[in-house]
Amino acid sequence: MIRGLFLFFFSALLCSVSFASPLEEIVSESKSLNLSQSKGWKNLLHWRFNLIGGMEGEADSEGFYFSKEGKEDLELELEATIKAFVTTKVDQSKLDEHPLCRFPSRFLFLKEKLKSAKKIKDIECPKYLKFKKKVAAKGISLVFSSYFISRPASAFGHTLMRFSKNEDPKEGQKHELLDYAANYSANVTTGNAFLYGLMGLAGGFMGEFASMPYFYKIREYSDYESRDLWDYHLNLKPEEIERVVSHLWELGSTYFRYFYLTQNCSYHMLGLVDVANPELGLTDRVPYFVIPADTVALIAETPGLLKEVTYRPSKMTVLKYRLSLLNKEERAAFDKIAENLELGELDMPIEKKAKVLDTAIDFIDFEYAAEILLENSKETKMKNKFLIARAQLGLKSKPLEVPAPRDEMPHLGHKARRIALGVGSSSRSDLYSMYEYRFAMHDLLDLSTGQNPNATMEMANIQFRYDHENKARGNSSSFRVDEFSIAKVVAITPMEQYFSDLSWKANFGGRTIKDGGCSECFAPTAQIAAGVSFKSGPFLTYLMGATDFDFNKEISHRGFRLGVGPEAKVLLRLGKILSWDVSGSWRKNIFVEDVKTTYKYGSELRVHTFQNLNFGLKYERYKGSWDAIAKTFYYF
Amino acid sequence: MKKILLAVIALGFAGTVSAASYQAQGCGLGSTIWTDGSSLVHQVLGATTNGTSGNNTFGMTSGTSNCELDGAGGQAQVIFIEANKVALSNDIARGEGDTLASLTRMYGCTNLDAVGSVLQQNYGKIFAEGTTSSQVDAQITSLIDNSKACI
Repeated sequence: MIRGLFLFFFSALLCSVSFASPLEEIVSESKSLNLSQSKGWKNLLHWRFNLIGGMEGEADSEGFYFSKEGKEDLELELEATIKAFVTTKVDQSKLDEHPLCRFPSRFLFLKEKLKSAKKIKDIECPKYLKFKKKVAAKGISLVFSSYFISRPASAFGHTLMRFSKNEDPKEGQKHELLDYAANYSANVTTGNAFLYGLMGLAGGFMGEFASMPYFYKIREYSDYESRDLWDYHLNLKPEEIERVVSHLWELGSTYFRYFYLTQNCSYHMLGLVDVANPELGLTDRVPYFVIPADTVALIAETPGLLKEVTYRPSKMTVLKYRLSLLNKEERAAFDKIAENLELGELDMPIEKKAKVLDTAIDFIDFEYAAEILLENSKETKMKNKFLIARAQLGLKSKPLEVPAPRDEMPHLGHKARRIALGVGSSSRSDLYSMYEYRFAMHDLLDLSTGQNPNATMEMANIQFRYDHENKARGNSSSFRVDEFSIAKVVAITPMEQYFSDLSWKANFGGRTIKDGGCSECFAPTAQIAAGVSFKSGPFLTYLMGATDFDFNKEISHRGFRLGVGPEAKVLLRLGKILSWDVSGSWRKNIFVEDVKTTYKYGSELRVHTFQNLNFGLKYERYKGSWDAIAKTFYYF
Repeated sequence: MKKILLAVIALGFAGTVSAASYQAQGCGLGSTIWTDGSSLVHQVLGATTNGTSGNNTFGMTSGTSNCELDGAGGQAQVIFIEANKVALSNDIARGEGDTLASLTRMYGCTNLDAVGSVLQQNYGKIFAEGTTSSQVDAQITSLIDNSKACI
């Protein structure tokens, strides 16, 4: 007995100084430090809350875990990882498939945290080293690609990562075409718009990380989609950069279920940045529903994380700027060229010729973006004549410095979610109150700083109304939905010469019919409109032809009506002070028995008292009724 | 906006066409933009990506298939020229620009000013009708060598 005890203690003592194997030693050290519960390890496994409230690894491919229970168990996965690192035989012909080569970031983490990890024999990983060499990251930035309203998935913007080969942001920008980018996107497997929406919301697509030369992204976003790029340069140490690059390599072989509103491109970019330093906690702090602008705002709010913001103007922005630099004579020469796209005799000094030709070259690129990609198109041949003429001048253009519209930096905007409380009076009720919630993101009267200033882009906006004495309902009180919108887009493109796109509107949701079409019934609605708009100083005006569908049995025996007619709005915006509009519309109603024509006019004022707290007044007059309300808006 | 939308769609068709003759078209934007999975064309045409999901046993998926810059022996320059042809020809005609600056660096030169002058003077030679990207690359290489603009 005594001998047994002695042996037991003796062997226990022995164990604390020497282990049977390196594997046991490393596992034991990791346990003594409780490493599996550390933030750093959790970040590497993308350990987050799942839909039912438990926690698990977000990656969905089996290959991402060494343990069968790795997705659910941090400790088992850590042990299995160590085991795989230590015990997997090195096959010289398949080095790249060795666990150490597939998970360089986990290896790096173990070496940083555990003294005993130096016992793991390092191996050379040809493919990973090649990847690291071509990325050659000295800096990392999160690139925000501006709002692209014509495309549903990009209407809120997009973020990707750029690995800069230069430490200095300014110097790096000059050669950013040689950099590498990392992008996270859904592998879209359907062409059906409805399925696309549904699967996108419900996680039906697989999302993957991919890396590519950054110039592909510049050509795509900046040149062909005319989206300005904002570069958020992160303040990271070399070892932090290495963690991100090595982790990106690990993510390349896995996939995540893609959720458009929550675990989307911007969310996963934050997850990647988090790996740099466990203190950051970006994914913990980002709102549940992730909007790209929120993520750059989060970067900017994190003390010490943001180094600098730089700007890359899109091709359209560049062209507009070049046009603004032309004087009267040069503009006349340009107009002549643009009219029939022929290179006439330019009777002016060589500097001016160069200026006009430079503008014409960008104009052709913008106007014929698709055609000039084709080798043998007539536009390509025509453009080549301009290029030859330009080269023959033998004069170098000065670098074009397009001033960055610092007011439009996406992190400066008001927050996307909004609640509003209002008190009002109307023809049907002396006193009523209004309760609104909007999930995202901006309307034309909201503070335009940091936003696409000429657009409304709203999702899930709902307005509840409480009438204290509803005259339309026998003077009893009522609480109901006044209006809701699943999606609403207003895309205003002010007409200018050479940029004469249509402005348009679309809204899907439901509304209370107040124009006498029924007795204030609630009707699901679909509205679309298109027309022209003009900008003049602080005024923005649009005029559109609209069609509305309203569905309710009370409206007509067919169960719906189609309203067709014009509408117009004048919007005055005084920077960060206030926004004010006056609008009116008229409709000819088809498929109805009684109310054949309806109209509406009114005015709304929004005072931007604080960035995230606004006050507003609104008055609306309908055929047969009126409505006035004062509201307070809070953005969060 | 609508115009851009149309342009992107048209570009998508261009891409589809060139994808059929991928070898011939190489790594130009038209042939890569639509496989990326993030472009509009994708959603409009219902095109799918390479379908690599989950099959990738290790390492990084490339968003641009064979058009990476790590090709051996001068391949990188050709790919760069192919994908940036529009911007590059503009820059060379103007003797200035960031695409030209990056190209200069790729050829191992630091003297952007001298390289810019030589290439601008020889614009017609470099981008003669029907030249392929590898011919452009060869032309630029010899121009830089002969003029000693790199030094």
